[in-house]
Amino acid sequence: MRVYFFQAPPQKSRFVGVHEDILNVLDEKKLFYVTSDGKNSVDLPQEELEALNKSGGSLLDKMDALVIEGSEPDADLGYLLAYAMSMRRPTIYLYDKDVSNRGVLKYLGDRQVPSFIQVRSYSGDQVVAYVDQFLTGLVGEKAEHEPTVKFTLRITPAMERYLQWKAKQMKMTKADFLRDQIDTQVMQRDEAYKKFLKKE
Amino acid sequence: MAKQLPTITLLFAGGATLQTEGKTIVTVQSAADAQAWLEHFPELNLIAKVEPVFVLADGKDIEPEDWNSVTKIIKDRYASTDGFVILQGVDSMLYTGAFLSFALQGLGKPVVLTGSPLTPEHNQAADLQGFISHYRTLGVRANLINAVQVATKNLVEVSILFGNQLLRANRGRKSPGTSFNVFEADETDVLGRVDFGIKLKAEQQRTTDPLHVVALQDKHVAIVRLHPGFRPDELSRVVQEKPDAIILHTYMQGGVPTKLAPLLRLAEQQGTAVVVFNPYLAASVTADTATVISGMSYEALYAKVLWALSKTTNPEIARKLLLQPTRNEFGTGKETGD
Repeated sequence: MRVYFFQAPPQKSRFVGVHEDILNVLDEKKLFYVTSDGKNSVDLPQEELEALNKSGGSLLDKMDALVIEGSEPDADLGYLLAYAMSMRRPTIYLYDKDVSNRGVLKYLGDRQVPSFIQVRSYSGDQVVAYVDQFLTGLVGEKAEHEPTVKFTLRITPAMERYLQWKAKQMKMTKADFLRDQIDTQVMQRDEAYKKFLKKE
Repeated sequence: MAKQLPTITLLFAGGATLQTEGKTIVTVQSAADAQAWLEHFPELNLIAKVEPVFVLADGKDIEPEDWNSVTKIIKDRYASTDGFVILQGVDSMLYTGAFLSFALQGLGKPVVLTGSPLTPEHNQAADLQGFISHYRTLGVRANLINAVQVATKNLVEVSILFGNQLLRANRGRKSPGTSFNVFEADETDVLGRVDFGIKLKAEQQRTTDPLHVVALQDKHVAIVRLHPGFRPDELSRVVQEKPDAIILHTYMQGGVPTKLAPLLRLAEQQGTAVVVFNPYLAASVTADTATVISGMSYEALYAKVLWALSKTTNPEIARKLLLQPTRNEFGTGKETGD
């Protein structure tokens, strides 16, 4: 799972210690993370970066979740939350309880904050517990949607030619194309299966 | 006291095709639709106070007169807004962006064009469904959020935000292939990129100088594309219509076929400005019978011809305006001035 961690620039921030605590949680969870301060736990594969650049996507599209420490005002806070909302990315927005308001979130009515954005005011060590709970919940949910099941599928040469051509057209890998087709064109449209899941 | 959010004016001039979560297509056909359309984007309230203004329904049908509507709105709201975002269809965005870059003189705030990469027709095209669903976050929603964020930044020129790139509007070109980076430009004309936020290559200084707008006059600009075997009588018919200008899109490195010289002289004598669009020369020059322009995009040249003819009725001054770089339209590093 990939996490983007936004923090105020350390040279200006009063919350450097809190940022370090959050980074420690990310390290303990052994997650891939990128911080707004430019720290990467590992680098994104070059091939993936090139494909992303060509397709017109942003690096935020490649993140599964956002952790935002928003106690101090920053021009990027509103943008990041807006992007998280638009992409429906699980996000935890943290702010020190001594900060009198919820920062940029005051511009959004309570009912407009979607459920996948958690807003937490913290004091002392609470921040570690909040981030830990948030990430633990996500890891379990993510596992359900990770392509971890492997099986062999024999296809015809004609199908292979088509997949080669189509994947190139779509700037996707063949596997990504097939997974996307199964997800969006088959599973999401299968009303009988949806009813089956509800009964389960 | 907490800092207020910046105010951004959002102009609707096409390019507003939105596919909702329920797969419904929502567009803006009238002023009444604009506010309702904007309510699909509550997240914009986190970035700026966005004020919608309707210009026209379909960017494909934009006419040069509509550019006057756009520049008038920008001028009227210039003092009260921190930046402008213009939603427009991809078909005409390069023309509009180029024209605005010339028409808005003394611009001290960002003007950002963006739009939906998809039309209602795209959404019905079965063979694009996989592409659309795979990149569903990259439609007008992402473009709009990115463009509004750019409009809050320090950038004092007309730009295009599409996909993950911010380009100088009068240097952009359509990019080939299926991608949400619908436009491309030379690296020197890429003003910024979208990665974990908007990264401008260089911040520019906002100014409070007054904005001067060059209103577009009703000018007839005829376009003629030359090719081997081109018959002079084809150009003759165009010259007889006495347009204000003729743009000859040549295929020759050296200019135009010599057999056309008498017609070009006739055009000049009757007051028709003749501009040769030559993508092959390294420099723009004034020839005996025509102004030869090189190093610009075709869309930027068309917009600049309209702008120059609107700014002056003196053919000599118009010729000088065309040759003089004013908004980096020949590329960066060239001397500029109004």
